[in-house]
Amino acid sequence: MMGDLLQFQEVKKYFPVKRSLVEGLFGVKPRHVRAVDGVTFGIQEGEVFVLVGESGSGKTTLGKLGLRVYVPTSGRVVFDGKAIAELKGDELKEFKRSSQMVYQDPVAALNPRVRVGDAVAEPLGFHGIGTKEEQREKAFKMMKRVGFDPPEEFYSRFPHELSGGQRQRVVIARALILGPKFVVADEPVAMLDVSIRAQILKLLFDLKKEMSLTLLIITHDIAIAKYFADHVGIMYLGQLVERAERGEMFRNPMHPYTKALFSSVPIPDPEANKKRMIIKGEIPSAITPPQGCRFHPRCPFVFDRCRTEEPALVRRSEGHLVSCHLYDEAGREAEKAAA
Amino acid sequence: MTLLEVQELSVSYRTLKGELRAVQGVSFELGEQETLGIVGESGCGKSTLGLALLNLMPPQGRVTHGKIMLDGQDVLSLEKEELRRVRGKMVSMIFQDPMTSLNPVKKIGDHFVEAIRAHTPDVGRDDALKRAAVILGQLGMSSDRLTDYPHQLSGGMKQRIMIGLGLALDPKLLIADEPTTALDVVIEAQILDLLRQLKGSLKLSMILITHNLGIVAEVADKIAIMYGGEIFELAETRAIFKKPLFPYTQLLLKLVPNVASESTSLEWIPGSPPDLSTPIAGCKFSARCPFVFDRCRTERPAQREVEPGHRVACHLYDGGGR
Repeated sequence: MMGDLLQFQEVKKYFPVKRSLVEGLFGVKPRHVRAVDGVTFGIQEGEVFVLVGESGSGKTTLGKLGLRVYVPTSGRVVFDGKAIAELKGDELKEFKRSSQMVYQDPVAALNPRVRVGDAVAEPLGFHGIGTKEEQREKAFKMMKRVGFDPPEEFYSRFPHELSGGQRQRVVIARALILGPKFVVADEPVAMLDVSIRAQILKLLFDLKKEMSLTLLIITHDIAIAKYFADHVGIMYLGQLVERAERGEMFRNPMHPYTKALFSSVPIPDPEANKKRMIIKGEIPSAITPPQGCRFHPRCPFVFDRCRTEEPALVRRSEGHLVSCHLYDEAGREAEKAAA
Repeated sequence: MTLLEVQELSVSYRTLKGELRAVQGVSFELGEQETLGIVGESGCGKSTLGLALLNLMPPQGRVTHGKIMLDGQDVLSLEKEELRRVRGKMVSMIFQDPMTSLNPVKKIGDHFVEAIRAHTPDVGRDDALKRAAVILGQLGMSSDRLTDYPHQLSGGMKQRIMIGLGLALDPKLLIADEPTTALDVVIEAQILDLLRQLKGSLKLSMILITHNLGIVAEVADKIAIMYGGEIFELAETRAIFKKPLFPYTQLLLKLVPNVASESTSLEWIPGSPPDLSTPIAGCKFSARCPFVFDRCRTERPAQREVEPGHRVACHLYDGGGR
């Protein structure tokens, strides 16, 4: 895979579930939440990759694996040709500098007692870059860049003195001040008002171009993918079920889950076609995921093979990967037989 | 037939920063079996308006002006006991977060028994449970769920239960405040589908409070656009989407990402919503409006019916013009 800045290779992350005292005494085997269960894909240098999934799909865990906030249970995360779990010393420090996270909740991400300018400058201090004066100067520049004009007016304010949108700008400035190559934005606008969301998304997108960032946006909002993505990935229950270039993904969604997800979004147009595919039930537990294809208990096109055999993520056309038996020879026949 | 008529309603909260005027001079009517969508951002007063309709204000809030006529009764002048009868039997309300609205140590069936018997004490426990089972059937759930505790249900099922509890006493009006916001989009589609069905089968009137234009486009007959505590535009759903008049409505339609649209560029509104604890001269949207002119900054625009059934409060449309 040429040109990938970050690669997930068969990445798994399991979290142990706490056993109760009674379960421990009776020797009940420890169970695991399979938050991410065998994910492989690459993010190209300079692109916006939007990872879409519902709550419990493992998308946030995957984002954190990409930043080495978590270390995989198995598999590898490769950044710039190196497995990030094996980085040490200066290399690790360099990785931490060049990869950053923008959090969902700007209230929780900012210390209420730290002036926002100092919060923006702080990462420079952690990495020992420049003198205090230079750090301040850089923070001014970064704040101006994210829309605080003049920055002097805002530097000494506390987070509670800013609006939600302004706070998120501070969080973005803080993430970008070290000049990272790779930024993970986890639901960057989910906590903001609708009239503010577009501003912040636009800002992220402009900064991405200007600073040649590679951006992984994690979201439950499919529309964000439609507007900003180069590539889109769809996650379901710890696995990547489909990945394609944006246009292809929206023109030709292939996985039944993707189709259902797209058709579930309420459309702000009373004359829109309301024929939709409503799938039953809810996302199952990641402790005991279903056998075979994880989507099979909810899939309207399910057939025997889906219940026993896990589909692999297979390339169906240029750059379009899908994990679904429907698109196999045998799958097509079964579909015909059912019809 | 008009079921609900709200006239010039204003609601204020006492805060440390002084009086916060959350709702200001709101008027609208709701007919029987009609669904009104109230759309706005956080802090625009839409939830306060919903609570005020049932006179359910928190202690620091109070209605400062206006009248609410519900099926011929003046809600604001009702005594406590009469009000209690109206709530539940006549109107009921469902909230955003089903996780916190159910009592974790009570079985689902007991929630229904409590709700039904609180208003109709002569109904026995067994009869109440029978009624609950019928309601669960309407919601597409098995009556086995009556013996479950809330934690045994998923988020979508809990929200169905909340809707069921709202319907337990056969109200005429259901007020739903962001009923799907806490849910994932696939579950949201299930719940919206359910609300649409119930609206038809139970002959309900509904007020749907939401920030999501997509939801009202699919469920509402009429839409009221709120900003800074006021209704700035009110019209039939189709008219709001096809011919929005108020500049905020126009922008809102362009900045909401639409999966079905061909366009992939987003408009945006500079600035943020107004602070309602300081009085604002003129139009509340003037600070962010692309068409602002002098009069907007000094004079509050009045409501005008520009076309039959299409109301807007904006100086652009009041003849005087610029």
